[in-house]
Amino acid sequence: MNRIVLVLLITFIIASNIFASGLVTDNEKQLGENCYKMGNRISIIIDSHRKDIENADRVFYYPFNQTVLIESNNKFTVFENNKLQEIKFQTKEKINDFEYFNGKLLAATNTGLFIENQKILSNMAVLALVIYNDQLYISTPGKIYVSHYGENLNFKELRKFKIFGALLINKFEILNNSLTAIDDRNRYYRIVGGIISPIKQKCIVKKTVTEKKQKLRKATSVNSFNVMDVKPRPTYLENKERVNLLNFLNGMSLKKHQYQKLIEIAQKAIKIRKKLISVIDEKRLIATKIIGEMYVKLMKGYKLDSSFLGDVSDICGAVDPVKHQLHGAMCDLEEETLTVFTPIEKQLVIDFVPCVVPPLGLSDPIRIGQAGYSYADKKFLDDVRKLSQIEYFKKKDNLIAHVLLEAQNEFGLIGKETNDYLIDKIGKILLKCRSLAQIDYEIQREDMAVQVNKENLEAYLKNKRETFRRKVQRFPGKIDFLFMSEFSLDIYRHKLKLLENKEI
Amino acid sequence: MDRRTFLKTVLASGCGFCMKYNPYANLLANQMDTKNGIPLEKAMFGKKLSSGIVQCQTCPNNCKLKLDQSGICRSRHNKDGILYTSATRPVVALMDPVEKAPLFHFFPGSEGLSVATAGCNLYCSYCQNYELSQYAPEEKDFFEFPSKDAINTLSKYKAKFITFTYTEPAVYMEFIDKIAPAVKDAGFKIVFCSALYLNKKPLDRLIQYGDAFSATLKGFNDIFLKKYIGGSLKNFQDSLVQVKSAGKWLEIINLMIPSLNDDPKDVRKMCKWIKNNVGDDTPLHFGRFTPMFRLKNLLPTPVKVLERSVEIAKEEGLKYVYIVNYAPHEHNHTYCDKCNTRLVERIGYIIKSNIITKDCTCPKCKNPIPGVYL
Repeated sequence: MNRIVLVLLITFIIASNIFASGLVTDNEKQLGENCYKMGNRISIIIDSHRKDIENADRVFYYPFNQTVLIESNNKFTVFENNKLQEIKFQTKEKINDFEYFNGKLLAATNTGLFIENQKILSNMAVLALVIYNDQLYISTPGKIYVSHYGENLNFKELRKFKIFGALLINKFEILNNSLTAIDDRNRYYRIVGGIISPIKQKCIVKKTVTEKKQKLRKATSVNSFNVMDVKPRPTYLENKERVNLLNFLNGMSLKKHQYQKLIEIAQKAIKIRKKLISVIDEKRLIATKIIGEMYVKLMKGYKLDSSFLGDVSDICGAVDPVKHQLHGAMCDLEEETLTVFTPIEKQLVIDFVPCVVPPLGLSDPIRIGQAGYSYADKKFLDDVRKLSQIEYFKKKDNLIAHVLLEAQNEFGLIGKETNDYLIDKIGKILLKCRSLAQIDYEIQREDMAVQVNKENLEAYLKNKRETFRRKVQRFPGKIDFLFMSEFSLDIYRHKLKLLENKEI
Repeated sequence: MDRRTFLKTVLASGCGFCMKYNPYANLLANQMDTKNGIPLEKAMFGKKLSSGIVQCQTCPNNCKLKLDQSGICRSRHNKDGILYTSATRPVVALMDPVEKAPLFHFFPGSEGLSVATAGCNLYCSYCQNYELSQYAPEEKDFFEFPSKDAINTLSKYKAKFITFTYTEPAVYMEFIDKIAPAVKDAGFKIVFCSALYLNKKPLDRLIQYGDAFSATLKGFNDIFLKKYIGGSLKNFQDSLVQVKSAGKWLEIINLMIPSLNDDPKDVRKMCKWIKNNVGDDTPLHFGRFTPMFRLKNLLPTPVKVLERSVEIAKEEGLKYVYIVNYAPHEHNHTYCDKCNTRLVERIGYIIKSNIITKDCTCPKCKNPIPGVYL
């Protein structure tokens, strides 16, 4: 029996070698092996080509065959033979910015299979699959293959051959001696021994505890991976806000006089901020100096005079009024900013949630011809409506508790005040849902579902937090951050210029 | 005969007798006219073929149904050699802005009542209402909606029109036939959001009621239409021409799906065809695709692709081209095709300003703007 198995195994190996040798040339095979070898030293490659990666428009990392594809100035470059080599498309046309969007990067294989016309042609490592002008470009070490995309090959086919999606990596960083990738959604991945594994968001949140705990953790585990060491670059944040504001202004199509007034307000805000922050900094310096002196004196065993203590409290306390002055001034300017807009625009400013990716709809996320969303919540309301009067009063508390529990799961513990408010609010919605006539219920169900659903609760809780912050700390809000910063001033000027040029 | 067989025979004959001379027989027969609670009604456009086979001639699918079979739309059934429909009651009713149809040249900023039954004669792989369209009417919760209620609701919510939308109106032709005449008589407008995948006669019936049509031209490539939609280009084209030649207000929407129907060559062909056959003043909307239903593996349409399509359409001479499902964008607004003045400003479904004059012209150059505004 064992002999038969052995014979079969040997025949299989011989047959597979014959099959493989018929398809792959030695040169290609060697190149493929080089590619795999190179993959193991990915961190070294990234280190040596850090500049190329930093200057690139986008960087794609293929965890499966460990290759890096760089896109800069509409050129795709891959690492081949330890060098960066450009992928040359088999077309005379140039890929300009306009056409690029037609092309999109697909995926890479984990097995290194190369596919053309639904047949496996080679067991070469595939570096990149790019669709461009309906052609599927398959880049393998040293060669570019073209296959017609659309008729012969589709996503289903690609899936058959175990092709997985690529990660869009924004940047690579070496953290605690291990390579970390950060993708376009700011998610972190650890790359160890060629395996890429996501670092859970929860872990990152948990690590935002006090410094003490962080120090303790460092002391207990020397080699532990500390995500909090990674802070997004200020330029990235600033760029994000620029994009937010541009997204918003592009849709608003403001008039010339509105921009002029926004410029005035932003200039005022910058001036006030600079002035008051310098005062705050000065006071802080004096206060830290005095507290330092106080500490030295206490350590030496001196008793402190009441006058000295008075000075400290005066100076330390003096910081707050200035802070309040700053926040007060900002709030006034915020209100002034709102007066620039028309009532519809004003509502949009208030509703606008800053986002880097342009929103589907500022006012209504439902797409054209769509019957609605949140089917789960609609079903919940339908079930409530179907209950008989006796059943409803029996289950009412449970139903409300169910919604609250979902909200708590989503946002954490809810305070008593909010809890009471929600019980009242949800109770009213449920009563309304039961009392409406059928057609009115059908029409209003969407709104009621939205009111009940999590997004609404989240918005409500956020609002609550924001208003709380505003009231207690006078913390500058969205409008201050978005509309009255230095970058906003640049954008207003740019927009105004564009408008003036158009008029000419 | 042993005792067991005797008892069996007596029981069987007893049951047979009861079935035949049952006093509730009439009631049972009436219950047969419902399917899972939804009342069945005799369907229009059914043709009896030989040996109990019925052909539904509502749409180009032309389903030939054997006894107890249902059509592709899941709503038309062959019962005892007669074509019945279960799409007799709506399953959804909502108040929607006209811009959601999308109709940008038809009472901008107004609201209407949208209704639909379940079931559809197409199976678009990206359908955003698949929870309605890919189910049979009897699988969904429905409600009674007589024409009286329709008129009352329209007046109560100050709606200007009723829209038959979300799924293919062709499927619930009988329901429309009951509601539409009364609604029209009460002075309300009637809008159809449809792919217009219908045969000539049924479409004539819709045209008879409709004031405006928002037609979805799914693509301009037969392979794509066959594979992902379940229709053929010729039928879509014929219907568009039929609606336009009947003098009804028509706007066309084309949802751009990355890598499937966003080929610039196809877009150019489509624009050329629209200009030559439906007219250059027919508004064309390019919609942004969002991964849905069976095409969740695709990405949302890049905005550049939409912008490129708009440019192509303008190059081909179409006067009113829009980008929808993506706001804010400069192509959400209506511009005068002569002097390029911004006539209607939109942010999402909100109308920010509308300066079209009462004579439906541009206030600057007096160029007439096609559409229904008053």
